[in-house]
Amino acid sequence: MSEPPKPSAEFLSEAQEVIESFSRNLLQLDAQQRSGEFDPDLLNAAFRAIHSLKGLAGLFGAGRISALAHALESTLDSLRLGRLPLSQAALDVLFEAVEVFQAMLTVFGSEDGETVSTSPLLGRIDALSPDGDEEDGAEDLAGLDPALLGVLTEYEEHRLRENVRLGRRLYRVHAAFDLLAIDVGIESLKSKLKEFGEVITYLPSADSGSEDRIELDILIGSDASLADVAAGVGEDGVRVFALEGEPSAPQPAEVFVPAGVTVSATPTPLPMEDDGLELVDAGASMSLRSISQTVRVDLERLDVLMNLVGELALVQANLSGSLEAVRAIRGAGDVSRVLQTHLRTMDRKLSLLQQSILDVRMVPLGQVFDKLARVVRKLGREAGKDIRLAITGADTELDKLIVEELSDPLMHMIRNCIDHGIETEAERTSLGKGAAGHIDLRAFQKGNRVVIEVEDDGRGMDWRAIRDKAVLRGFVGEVESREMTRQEVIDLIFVPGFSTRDTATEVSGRGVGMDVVKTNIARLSGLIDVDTVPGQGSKFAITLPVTLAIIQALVIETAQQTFCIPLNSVLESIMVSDAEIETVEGHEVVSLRGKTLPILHLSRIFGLPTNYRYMDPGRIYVVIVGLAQHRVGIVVDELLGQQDVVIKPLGRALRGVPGIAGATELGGGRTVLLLDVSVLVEEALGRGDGGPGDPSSRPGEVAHA
Amino acid sequence: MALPVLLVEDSRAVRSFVSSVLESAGDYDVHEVDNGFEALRALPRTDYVLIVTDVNMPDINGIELTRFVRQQPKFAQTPVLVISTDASHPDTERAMAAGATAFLAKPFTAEEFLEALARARGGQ
Repeated sequence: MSEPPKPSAEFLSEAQEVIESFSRNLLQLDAQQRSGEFDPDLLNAAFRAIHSLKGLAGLFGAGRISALAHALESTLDSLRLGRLPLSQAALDVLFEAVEVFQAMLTVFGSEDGETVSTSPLLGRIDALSPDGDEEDGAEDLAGLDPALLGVLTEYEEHRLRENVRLGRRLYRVHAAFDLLAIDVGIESLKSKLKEFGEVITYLPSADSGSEDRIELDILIGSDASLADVAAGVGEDGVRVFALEGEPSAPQPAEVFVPAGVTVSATPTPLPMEDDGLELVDAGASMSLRSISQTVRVDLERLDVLMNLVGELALVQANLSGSLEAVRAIRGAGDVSRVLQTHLRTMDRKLSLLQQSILDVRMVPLGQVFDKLARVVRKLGREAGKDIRLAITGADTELDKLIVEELSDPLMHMIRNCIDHGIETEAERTSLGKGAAGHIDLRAFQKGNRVVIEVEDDGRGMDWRAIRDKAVLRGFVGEVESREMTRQEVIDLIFVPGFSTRDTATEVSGRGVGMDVVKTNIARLSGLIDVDTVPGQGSKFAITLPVTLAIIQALVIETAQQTFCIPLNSVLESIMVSDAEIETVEGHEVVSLRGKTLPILHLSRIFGLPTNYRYMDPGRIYVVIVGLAQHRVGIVVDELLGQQDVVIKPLGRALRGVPGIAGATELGGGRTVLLLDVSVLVEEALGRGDGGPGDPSSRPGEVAHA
Repeated sequence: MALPVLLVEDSRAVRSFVSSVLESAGDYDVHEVDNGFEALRALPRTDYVLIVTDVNMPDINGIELTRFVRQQPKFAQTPVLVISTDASHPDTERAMAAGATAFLAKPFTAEEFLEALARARGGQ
């Protein structure tokens, strides 16, 4: 009994949730603070978040988190009570706390005894605290019923005073609700009242007439006149009173008295044909049970489900094989037809099951975007640049694992925007641009893929400068460089080791370069494209699959080995004869509708033994795969079909092999390797070995979309 | 018959902690709600023997809820335990003035909760 509960997943997940909502509050407050006026509700929500965190951490024995939350709670209390101004400096400290809390949660419960230092932050929190315990001003609340003031929290009382100080009038809005429909009624009334000003608190009192009804007095502060407020909420049969100097027996305002003085906000009365009691009870317990409609699940458990579904698909494939065997038995026609019907149904249900599990893994990109917004604010302030971040599509959903892995590359790109892309204020002003730099972060779904764009309005990249630097550093020969298109030149920023200050791709020793960003994105089976206009800015677009857990694959055989190719990179399959395969400068190519594209032999890439060149020189299958604008053909001996495959991580032996993205199981317990198309395409385009002399990287000779 | 208790608290983890402490301490049937409106709904339906409420809640705060509870004849004597920020905070004093029986500051351990529970039930 005396032991604190185990540092459970429940603590970590709720604490994480609390900190995320705290962070969102801060981001909104930050934007509002800059524009001059902020919503006190946001600050109060931030206070409550940290108050909850303190309680939570205390319960689970996270003493240091609790202590930090306690210090922060006092600061937030001072902020919301107006004893401390909400300055950018104060926001800096609050934002720092988000990072520290997250770091603490990460190491919390880990065995290695690692700790996050909180003393610098505690020092800064302490330095913020107001000198004296300055009380609220003497704004006159004398007219108010002391009994009423007595049940307000200190904060609510402060908001009353603050509204008076701002010259607003205070109103008491009286309403009665049916208990059953109180949540609906309150929400609708609240949204109406919010249009007039600030809703400060709700005071419930029992309806003397009925146990099933509640009367509420809602205190609001507003610039509007009594008549306007009364008219605004009038339809609900709600009464509005001015609060100043109000006697304890209030008189309704003369303006508005609806026909049925205090009527219920419930739109429809309960059907009471029988005695109605059962119905009432059922409704009440239903809404009481609905505290939380969500369940948090460990991703590993979902992986187990996903693997099971994958295995079921194999069982199903085996059953189909057995069906074929049954069909061959004379006189079993009826049985096999019935079996086939059942198998088809099972197939459909399995697909649905698979899709449902995938849906569960989806999380909104907003999780990462919030983190980026904090980074933008922090780096912007460090760099002395005023940067406005606009986010759209934060509710776009992606597989949880992809969202996690995206954080680092996106962070790096945002950093580049701020450090190198966006000019200093002075520079921008002299160029006639607005002093504030802008970064747009956009996400949207495009077919079965998700696109994330990071666009800035900074100085952009000068492709000629990139080309000159590439030549200078020996990445390309001078002659070749002249034949490269603008886009090809810009793509050089993704080549390992290529980074120059002049081209705004230098990384200031703080992180990875664009080549690493590209590798990270490619690991997620994603693509990255860049477009830039000198003087106007750069736009990076990342295209990602919605999930990596399961993919549709084309199953092929070559050199007596079976491989899977992700179907979303397969454009088409063609058949050629060996006479159509030409060799240009040592590389094999074929022509497809007037374009030349390089072809690849997996046996050569993976060093597989083969005794023959082609099984049938007149009928050679070539699978055309594409990534971005590149097209490459892969020579295969046989096309075995399409299948949904569940991707499993590779064992240690294969993990480092380029060109292999993962493994999967096909029917009959065979393990099959999944090809990494992005690596293979690069191989074929000669970035790895052929170099720029490779014909495939020359414009005009290679198929470009 | 298990004794019905109403627990009003917006943190899920704190709710489940308090419930488990209560349920292992006695034959209590803890009814959890996460906001004041749900509490208003629950109160008329059950003769709770104990009400535990957070003070810092949006919309209807714990002080207002306590006052409301005391207005009901059937809850005039029912122990109300409020969970507050700290003992010296004006909100704690106001909750006590509104009729709370005992208070408990966050964060608290199981023992501290049980001590406060004893204070609240002893104060009947």
